[in-house]
Amino acid sequence: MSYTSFLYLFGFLGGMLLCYFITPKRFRWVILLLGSYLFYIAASKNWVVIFILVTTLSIYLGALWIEKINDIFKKLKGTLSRQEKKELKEKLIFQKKIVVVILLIINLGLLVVLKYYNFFAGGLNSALFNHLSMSLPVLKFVLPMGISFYTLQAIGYFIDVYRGKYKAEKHLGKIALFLIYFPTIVQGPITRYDQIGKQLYEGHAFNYLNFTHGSQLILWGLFKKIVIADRANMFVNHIFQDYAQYSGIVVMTGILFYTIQLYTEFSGAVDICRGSSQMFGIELPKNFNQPFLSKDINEFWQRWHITLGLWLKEYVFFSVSLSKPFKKFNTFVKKFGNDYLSKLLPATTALFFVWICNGLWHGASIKYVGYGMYYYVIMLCGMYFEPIFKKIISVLRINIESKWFKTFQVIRTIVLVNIGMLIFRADSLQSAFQMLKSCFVPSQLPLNMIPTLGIDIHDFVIIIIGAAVVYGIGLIKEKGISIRESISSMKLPLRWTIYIAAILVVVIFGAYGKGYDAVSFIYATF
Amino acid sequence: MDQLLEVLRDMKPGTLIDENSQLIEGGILDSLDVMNLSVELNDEFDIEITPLDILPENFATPTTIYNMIKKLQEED
Amino acid sequence: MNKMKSNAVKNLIKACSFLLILFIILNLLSAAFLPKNNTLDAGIDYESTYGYRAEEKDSLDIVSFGNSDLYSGLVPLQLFFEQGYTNYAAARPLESISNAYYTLMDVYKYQSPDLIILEVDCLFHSSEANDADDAITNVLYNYLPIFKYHDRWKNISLSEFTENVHYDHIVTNKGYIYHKTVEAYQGQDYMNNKKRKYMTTSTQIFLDKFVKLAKENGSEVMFVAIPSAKTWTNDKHKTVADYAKSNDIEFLDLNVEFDEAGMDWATDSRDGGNHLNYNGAKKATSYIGQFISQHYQIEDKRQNELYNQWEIDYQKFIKNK
Repeated sequence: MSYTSFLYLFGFLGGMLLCYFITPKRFRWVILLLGSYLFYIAASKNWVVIFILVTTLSIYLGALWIEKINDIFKKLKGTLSRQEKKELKEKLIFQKKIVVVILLIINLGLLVVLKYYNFFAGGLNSALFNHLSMSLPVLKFVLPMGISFYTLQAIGYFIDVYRGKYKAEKHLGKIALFLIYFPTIVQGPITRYDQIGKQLYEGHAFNYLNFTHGSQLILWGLFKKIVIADRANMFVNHIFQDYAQYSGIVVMTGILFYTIQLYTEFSGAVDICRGSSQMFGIELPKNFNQPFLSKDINEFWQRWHITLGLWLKEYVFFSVSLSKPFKKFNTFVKKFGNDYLSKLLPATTALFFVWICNGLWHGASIKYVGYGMYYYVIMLCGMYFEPIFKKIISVLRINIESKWFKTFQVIRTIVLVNIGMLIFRADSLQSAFQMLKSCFVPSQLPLNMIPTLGIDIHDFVIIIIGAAVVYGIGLIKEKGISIRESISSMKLPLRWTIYIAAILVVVIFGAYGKGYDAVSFIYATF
Repeated sequence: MDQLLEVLRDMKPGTLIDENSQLIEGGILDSLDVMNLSVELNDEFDIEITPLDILPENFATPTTIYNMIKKLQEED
Repeated sequence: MNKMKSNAVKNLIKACSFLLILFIILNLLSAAFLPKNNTLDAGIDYESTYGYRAEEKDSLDIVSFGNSDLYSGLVPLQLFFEQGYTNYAAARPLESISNAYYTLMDVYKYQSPDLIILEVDCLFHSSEANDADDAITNVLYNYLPIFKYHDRWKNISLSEFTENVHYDHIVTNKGYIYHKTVEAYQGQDYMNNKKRKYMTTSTQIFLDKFVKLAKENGSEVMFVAIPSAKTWTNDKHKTVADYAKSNDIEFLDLNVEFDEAGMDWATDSRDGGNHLNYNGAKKATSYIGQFISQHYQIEDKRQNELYNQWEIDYQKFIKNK
């Protein structure tokens, strides 16, 4: 059941809202829990649900165990001397660490086995077993829906409990709902327990404003997803499949359209989810914040897939850079190394782990490692060459506050991000490189060539206009103007005209139904 | 306090930093700088800054950082 | 408290009037977006499905429904040539019963057939969720065709906003799609394969509606399973046979009576056992024709001058195929 299907929009969501608001407040969370499991089962194979149940149960029990160890310390604290206290604390921290490791093995283990087994087995086979003339078999696993997302939420939860950020949850149902909540299960946003746990559990009263705002957000998401992304998809598939045939502006358009597609698809789907959730009165965190207005790559990743960036910062970056071995390593470098380098080293090392994780999280292949490393190298360049850039700017007397310079920065970021997207979409690192090279071979894109590229000229125009609208609205939002509120403050006839026009745009210009569905593709050759 | 200011000035040469400089809001420190600084402080003051301490309010000004260091030293 | 209540009432009225206005506008636009003829050029989704609209009013004895199995396996012109039944195969690729239901509704606007044939492979169309989605989609498509034909914005002309529909495109093959390729099915007996055997909830709902609609309009219903080694199983046969029995419907399973119909997987499939080719369709059609003549009283129209064109079309089809 996809978020853009009629079944979801008119059947499931409508039914859920009705059930939610006719149930007594105390039990409303039960509706969300049952509905989310129903959603999960409807969208995948029945028995796959076992994996998320294992994760749910393991982190629930594990977190309670950690909590118990904490309680022991609190109980004995008063009766012990300073020295004893320190010893006990160390002993208990060791115990807590064991629990965390067990939980990581279970949950990360499931993810690694299901998602990455073949990648690592392939690597081992070629690196090691070839010489021994034996090999690990290639296995085909079912990848449970949303496992990459709910596993991160699960890890975040028990690490927070371990760090003492909040207490372990005693209510199993709350943890279960937190992991499987239907608007977040497919593609995030990745939430933290302290952020939405309470919201999910408390029964919300029906609120007309939440309802209308939620609907508007869903409509905006649908516009991005089915008017732009699903349309661009056909063009992008065409170019990336036969990239060797094209060069120059055609390939560039393919790459640009892919960037447009990925952004509108991902942010559109998240808007549909956030809008759905808002109808129940549950506020999900933002996942995008006008990423294509960023001045540099660092800022881009604070505006793009925000919840993943925050997760990596919180649980990878901090965990690495504030760990004891890392501290020792740092002291060592400082003693024997260059002063300038040692100051940048903590971030350099920790970021390496962040970007390796980021790359691998997106997929199990060397290509995605390359994707992560691409951004890592750009960030390092930014850090290490900062003094040089500053010098260049002062020598050339560039006014860094000028509009021109800022526009230059934004365009530079967009170009760099497009190359990143190319790596992300291409079949392999080699083909990404080939495509990048072919961009510099001059060629033209005459209008009569467009219909041979998987879409017709009408579609092409809609993609361009649609992308311009999305970018324009981004610029307005960036100025701090809320579109929803400015429309709300208009007079009713004008307001309704805008809403109806928006609905008609999605209904008429959406790339759905015949010509865009799987059937049309399957039967195109018959 | 002087020790702290020295660390900060060392990290950001050419920037004027006093006890009440707005480090985060003023854009002097970004998140990577906060990280580098934390590692530096761990070393310099022999404390253990945990991920839970990395909050904007703790790193807002040199004074707030100083207070955090004091707190962590007492805890140990 | 009172104020809150009056606010809620106000909001409810507001929401309802908004939806009403939206519905009226979508309805008006639907009339414009509806293809004005039953041709691909006019924008209809599957030309060969809707040819019954252009046939003489109330001239068809039989209309059959189903997916690609049906339009590859039943030759309506041959059925006329052998038995004298005027008939049309209103089939579609990946047909679902909910879509067939709305097509049947449409059929009764133009025809009053004595017999409705349903090829039952479409009763195992997809998963619960997909079938439910399909059902909702078809309800929407039926009542607000703009959802179905929205993509016509690319070449709609202004005059279509006022134009009435006019269906005059006769599909001479009567819904059959000709394939002569031979690709033999190499496998063993497929009837004991394990596939899903139950019908999804929405399939059951729409099958009931389909049968009821046919009976209300005075048509009898017959189930047929065209041979398909890739999709059909004993379990499915049993599911359909049970339904047929409890609803008093004849069920002819050509997978079961494969040898009796004289069929042969070495020569009769076009794609390795999934669909029949013309060779197979010929035999299947003959066998179905005999079955109909034994079980139903339908007038033989071969001697009726009014239906001469059918004979001419058949000869043309044989010559040109």
